[in-house]
Amino acid sequence: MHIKQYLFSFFILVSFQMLSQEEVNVDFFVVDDTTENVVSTAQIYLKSGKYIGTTSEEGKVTFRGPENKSFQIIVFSYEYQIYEQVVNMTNDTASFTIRLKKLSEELSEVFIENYQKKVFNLKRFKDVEGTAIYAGKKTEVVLVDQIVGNLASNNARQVMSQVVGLNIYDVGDGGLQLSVGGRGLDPNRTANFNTRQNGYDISADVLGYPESYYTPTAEALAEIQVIRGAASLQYGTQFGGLINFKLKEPVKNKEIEFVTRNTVGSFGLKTNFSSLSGTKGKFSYYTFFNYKEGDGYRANSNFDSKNFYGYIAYDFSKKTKLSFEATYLNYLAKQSGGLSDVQFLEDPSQSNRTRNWFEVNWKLLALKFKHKISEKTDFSLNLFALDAHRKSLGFRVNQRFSEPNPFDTDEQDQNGNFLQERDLLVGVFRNWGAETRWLTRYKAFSKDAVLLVGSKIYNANNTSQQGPGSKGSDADFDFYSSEFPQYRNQSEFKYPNFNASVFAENIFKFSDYFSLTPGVRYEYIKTISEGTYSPELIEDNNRFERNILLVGLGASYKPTNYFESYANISQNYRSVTFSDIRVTSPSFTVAEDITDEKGYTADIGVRGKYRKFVSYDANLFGLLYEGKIGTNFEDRVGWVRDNIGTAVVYGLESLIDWNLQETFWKNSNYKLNIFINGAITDSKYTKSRFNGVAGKKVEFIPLVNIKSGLGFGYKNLIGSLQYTYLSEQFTDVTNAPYKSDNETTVAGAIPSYDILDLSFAYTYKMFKFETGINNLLNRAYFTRRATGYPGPGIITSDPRAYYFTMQLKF
Amino acid sequence: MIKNSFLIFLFSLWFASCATDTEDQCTTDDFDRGAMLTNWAENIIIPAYENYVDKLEDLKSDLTAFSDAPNQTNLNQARTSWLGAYVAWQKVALFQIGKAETERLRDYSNTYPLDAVGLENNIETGSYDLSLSTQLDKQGFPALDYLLNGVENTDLEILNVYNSTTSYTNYLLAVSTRLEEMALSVLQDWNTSYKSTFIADECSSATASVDKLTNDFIFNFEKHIRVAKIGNPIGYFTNIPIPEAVEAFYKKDVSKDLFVVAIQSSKDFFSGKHFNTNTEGISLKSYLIDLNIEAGGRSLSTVILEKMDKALATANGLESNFYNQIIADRSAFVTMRSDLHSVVEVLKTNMIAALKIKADFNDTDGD
Repeated sequence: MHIKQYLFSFFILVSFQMLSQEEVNVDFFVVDDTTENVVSTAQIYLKSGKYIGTTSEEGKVTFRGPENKSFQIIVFSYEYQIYEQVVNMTNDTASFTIRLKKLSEELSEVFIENYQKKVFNLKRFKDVEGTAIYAGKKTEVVLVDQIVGNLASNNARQVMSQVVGLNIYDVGDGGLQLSVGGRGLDPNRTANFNTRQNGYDISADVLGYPESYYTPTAEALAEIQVIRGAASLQYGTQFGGLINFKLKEPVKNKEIEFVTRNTVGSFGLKTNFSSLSGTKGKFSYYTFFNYKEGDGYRANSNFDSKNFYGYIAYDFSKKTKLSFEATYLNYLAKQSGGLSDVQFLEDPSQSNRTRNWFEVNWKLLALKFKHKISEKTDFSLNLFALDAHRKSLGFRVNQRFSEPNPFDTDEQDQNGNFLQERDLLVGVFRNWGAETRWLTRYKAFSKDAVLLVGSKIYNANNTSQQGPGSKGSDADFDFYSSEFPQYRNQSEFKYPNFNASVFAENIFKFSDYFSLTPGVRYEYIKTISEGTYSPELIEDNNRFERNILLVGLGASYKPTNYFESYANISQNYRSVTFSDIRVTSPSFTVAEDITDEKGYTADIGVRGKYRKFVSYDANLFGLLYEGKIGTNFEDRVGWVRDNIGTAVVYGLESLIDWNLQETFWKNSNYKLNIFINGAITDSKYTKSRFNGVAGKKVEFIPLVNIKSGLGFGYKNLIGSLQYTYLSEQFTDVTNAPYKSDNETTVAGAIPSYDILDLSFAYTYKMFKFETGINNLLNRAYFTRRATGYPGPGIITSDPRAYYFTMQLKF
Repeated sequence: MIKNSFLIFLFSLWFASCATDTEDQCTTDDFDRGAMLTNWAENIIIPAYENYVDKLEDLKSDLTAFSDAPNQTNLNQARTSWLGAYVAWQKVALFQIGKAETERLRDYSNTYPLDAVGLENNIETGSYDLSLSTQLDKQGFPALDYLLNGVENTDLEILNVYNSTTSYTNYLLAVSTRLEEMALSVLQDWNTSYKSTFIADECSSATASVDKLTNDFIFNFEKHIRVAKIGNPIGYFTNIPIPEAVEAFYKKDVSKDLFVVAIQSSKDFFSGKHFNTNTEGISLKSYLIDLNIEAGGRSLSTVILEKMDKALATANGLESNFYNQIIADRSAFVTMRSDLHSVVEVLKTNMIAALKIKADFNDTDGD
C-alpha cells in the first residue's frame, strides 16, 4: 500500500493553502461571578474541541488565532457551571473577562452525571495530554463513575460496555482476572493488549509473558483508556493496543475523604472496598483496601482475595510533581475445571475437578516524576518494578491413557484416595522498567507542531517450573518430584529478558483543522530461556535477539462542532511469549520453530456529536498478521501453539449514543439515553503451512458483537438496562463447529449468546445504594473453551445473579 | 469533504483487497464425503464390530466351559477362540472413534507389554476395579494371553492352577466379560445413534468425521502398528531390543498373524473394501482418484497401494514367532519398520495434503 505517499502529497497541498494568514493575540480573564475572585486552573476550549489553555494564577489565558474570525469558546472549571461565549478576533491584544457561576451545593446524581459527561466530551478531543499524543488514533475512554453496574465484581461486560468490539471472557471469579480481546485477538488474560495501571506496566512480563494476572478493581477506577493498534509506537508493540487503568486521584478540596463500600451478592459474594483520599498543602494521597470472597456458582469453586493500594504525591511547585505508588494483591481460588459439551448441556454447574487451585501474589511499585520544563515542554519519568508469582495446581488429564482426554475422570480408589498426582506450575516474575517521555510544542512551517520523544528499558528475570504436585486435594503448592520422578511434564526454566526501545511521534498541524502524526519506534529485544525439560532433563537453552523498527502515520481532521475524522496505519509486532514457547499444560504443547508475529493495524473513522444529542464514534479497521500464532489441534495429547499463517481481520466498529432527554424534555431532573455499541468483524487465513487452514476464519471472532443499552434516571435514582449479543465464534484454526455430543475435545465453536443486565443506583446524602441483576434472562452460556488452565474445557459463565452494594462517603 | 473521501477511498481499496469470498466453506472440493462415510460405516466399520462382538461371545462361552471343566480340550478351544477374537480386534483397532474413543476401547483391550506382577497381585488380593486407568496393563487380550499361556510353563501345570483355585478362573472371566461388554456398547452405539451422527458430519474441520477417522487410521498405522508391534520390541531408536514387548508374548507364535491382519485391514480400509465381500466402495482411494492426485507422475492411490503391498510382502516373509526372530535376526525387523514407515510418510504428507485434512498428531520419535 502506498498510503504514506498519498498522504504525503496531500500534506504538501494543504500546507500551501494555509501558509499566509495574519494572526492576533487575545487574552481571557476568568473570575468568580459573585466574589469577583480570580479562578485559576479553569480550562478553555474551542467548540471544535481544540484545547486553548488553562488559566494561570492571575486567571489569564492567551489565545492566538487568525484575524477577523469568530470562535465559540467553552470555559470550564470544577465547581462552576460550564460557560460558552462567541469571541471575535477583531484586533490584537483585546481582552475578555469571563464570569463563571458556582454550582449549587445540592446536586442530583442525574445532574452530576450530565455535567461529567459534558466535561468529558470537552476533554476527549485533546490531541495531547501530559506527555502523550492521542492525535489520529482510535482512543476510547470509559468513565467508571458513570457506570451503573456490578462494580464490586468487576463485571467487564458492564464496565467496558462502551468499548467497541471487545470479546470478553465472562467467568465468575469476582473479576479477579480480566480477559478481554478484540479484533480477533485471544482474550485470555488480556495478553494481546499492553496493560497498564496509571501508565506503567502491570502484566507478568511485557514481552515474554504479557498476561495480566492482576486487574485493578473497578471500584477504585476513574477511567479506563483504550488506544487501539496504533498505540504500538508509543506504548508497546502489541496488536491489541493499550489498556490503561487510571485509578482515582486524591480529592483536592478535602484533607480526608473516607469511602466504604460493602457488597453482598449471589453465590456467597462478599466484598469490601474502603478508601481514604485527600490533599493537604503540597501532599496528596489515595489509598484503598479491597477484600473479596465468593463461592462461585459451580461446585468446587471459591475465591478469597486481598488487594491494597497506596499513592502519595508531593507537588514541589505547579511545575514539578513526584509521586509514589504501591500495589499488593494476593488471592487463592479453587477452580472447578472445564466441561465437555455433553457435560455442559447436562448441568453447567457441575464440576469434575475437585482439587484444582490457583494462587496469585502481585507486588507492584512505581515512582513517577513529572516536570514542566517550560510552558511548551513537559517531561515525565516512570520507574516501576514487579515482584510476583502465580501457582497453579490441579489434575488436568490422565496421562496413563495413550491419548489423554481433557474430560477424563479424576479417578479414586475404593478408599477415596486419588490415583493421580496433580500438575503444578509455578511462575515467578521479577522485573523492573523505566520510561521517560519528553514532549515539546514548537512551530514547523509557522504552524503548531508537537514532538514527543521517549525511551523505555525493561529488564525481566523470570522463572517457571513445572512438575508433579501431590496426590492430595488441598492447596499444597509444593513439588513432589522425588515421589513421582517419572512425571511426564517436568521443566525448569529461567527467562532473563531485556528490552530497550526509543520512540518518537510528531504532530504536524497544517491548519487549525488538519494534522498529520508520523511516528517511529525502535526496539531491541533479547529473549533468553535456559533450562531443562522432562522427564530426562533435556537441556534447552535459547537465545533470541532482534532489532525491530516500527513506523506509523496518523491523520486527523477536526473542522467544527465536535467532529473529528481520523485515519492511521501502524506496524505491530508480538514477540513469542513463554506461554508460546514452553509447555504449560499436559493438553497443550508448542511447536519448536515458533517465531514472532508481525503485521499492521489500520483505522479510519469519524466521531463527534450530532446536534448536541447524538454522539457517535464509528470506524473501519483492518489488521494484517504474518505468522499469526494460534491454537492448533496438532497432537493427540491436545493443542499446539504455532505460527499458523497469514491472516487478515477487518470490520466496522461503532458506538452511538442518543440522549433522549436532551432531545425531548430538556428537564435536567431526568436522564434517558440509549446506546448501541456494535462491531461487525470478519477474518480469513489467506495462507497457512497446514492443510485445511487457508480460507478458514480466525479464532475468537464473532461476526456480530453488540452491546446495547438504555440509561435512565430521575434526580438521585439512575439505572441501566444492557443487552449483549455475540454471534458464534470458532476456537481453532480448522473452524471445528459446535457439537452438542462432543465429549473428547476442547475444539468446537462457542455458540452465540445474549445476556441482559439490569442495574440501579440511588444516592441519599452520604449514602449510595447500588443493586442489580446480571444475566436477567438466566441464560446458560459460556465464553471460553480453555486449552489448559483453568480447564481444560468449557468454562461456564454465571447464571442469573444479584448484587447489592451500600456505599458510605464522608 | 474531498480529503475525507480520499482517505475513505484508500481504505476501501485496502479493504476490498482482503475481503473474503462468502461461499460455504464446508469442504473445498466436490467429492461426496457423505457417501464415503456411509460406505465406511455400513459396509466396513459396523460389520467389523459385529464380527468382533461375535468372536468375543464365542470366547466368553469357551472360557466359561474351560472354567467349568479345566481340561486340555477346553484349554485348546479357549486358546483358539482367544486368537480368533484377537484377530477380529485387529480389524476394528483402526476405528477408535465415537464410543470406542470415549470409552478408551483400545487402551483397555490391548495394552502391552502386560504388567504380570500387578495382575498376579490382583488375583491374590481378589480386589481390583478393572475400569480404573491404573488397571490398563492388567487386562484385555494380553491378560488372557498370560492366563491361558503364561501362568505356568507347561499345559499340565497351567491346568493344575485352574483346578486348584477359583481365583484365576474368576479373573479370566472378569477380563473376558469386560472385553465383551465394552465391544458391545460400542457396537450398540453405532447401531442406534452414532451412525447417523458420523455420516451427517461430512464437512471439513478438525472434528469432522472424515478428518478425524482419516487421522485415526494413520495414527493407528503409525503408533499401533509400526511403533507398538515392531519399533518398541526391536528398540528401534535405542538399539536395545525388548523382545518381551511383542504382541502376544506368552503365546509367541501368533505375533505375525496378528500383525499381517492389522496391515491388511488398513489396506482394505484405504481401498474401501466391504468387510464381508470383495466389493470396493467409495474410499480414500477413490477420493484421491477423483481429485486426480499424482505423485511423481503416477496416481497417488497406486503409489500408496504399492507401498502397502510391499509392507505386506515383507511381513509375510517374517517368522511367526517375533520374539525368537528379534533375538536371532533383528535386521529383518528394521527392514520391516522401514517399509511401514514409507507407508506412513506417504499417508501423512501426500495424501492428507491432497485431501486438505489437517494432521492432528505429531511425528512420533518414541519407537
